[in-house]
Amino acid sequence: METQLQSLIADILGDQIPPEQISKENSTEWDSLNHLNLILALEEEFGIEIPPEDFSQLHSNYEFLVKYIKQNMN
Amino acid sequence: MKFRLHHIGIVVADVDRYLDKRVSGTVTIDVMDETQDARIVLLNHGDLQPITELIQPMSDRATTAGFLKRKGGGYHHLCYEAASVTEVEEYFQESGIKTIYGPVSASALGNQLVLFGYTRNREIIEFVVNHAKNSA
Repeated sequence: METQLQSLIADILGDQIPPEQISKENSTEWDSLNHLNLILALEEEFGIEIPPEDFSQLHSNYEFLVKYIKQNMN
Repeated sequence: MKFRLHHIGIVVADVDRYLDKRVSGTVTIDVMDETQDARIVLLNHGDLQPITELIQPMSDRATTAGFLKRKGGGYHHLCYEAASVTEVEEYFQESGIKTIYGPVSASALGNQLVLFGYTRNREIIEFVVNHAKNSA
């Protein structure tokens, strides 16, 4: 799962920062529009439904994304 | 799509340079929009054509700054008219459109409420709540 996530992050955010180290503080590419691109990609890749109330908390860091996906995949 | 097209949004680096080279249209509105942190200019092309909205982000925190940086500007969104915020929110829900932001007041559109959404095809879509339509 983490390999897929890292690939998505690299594709969408295209930062110089390694995906597993990315956060909203260190990424210049993780703006509101790319955050929506990431959310749509997470829904499609992992078959999860992300409710709007979770959008802002997901704009965080790699570790939080991993935790969130694991919690919502089952 | 049950909504009428209101305008086409285009992001530009410099409104004045764009206007100098424009093919058609008369400037009807030229304002600074604090919500978007952008200069907004509306170009009217006559009754038969939708309005063109030019959006010039004014800083890195502007809502369209990332778009300009990544794509260099150009076509940004289509905007449709709706009768109420509820109608837009229901349409977003039915169509799987994610809300980018709104409802907020849009100074370029007579302070009517607007909502921005993002479709599953990665398209930006805007709705302006037309009170006249609501009361018609």
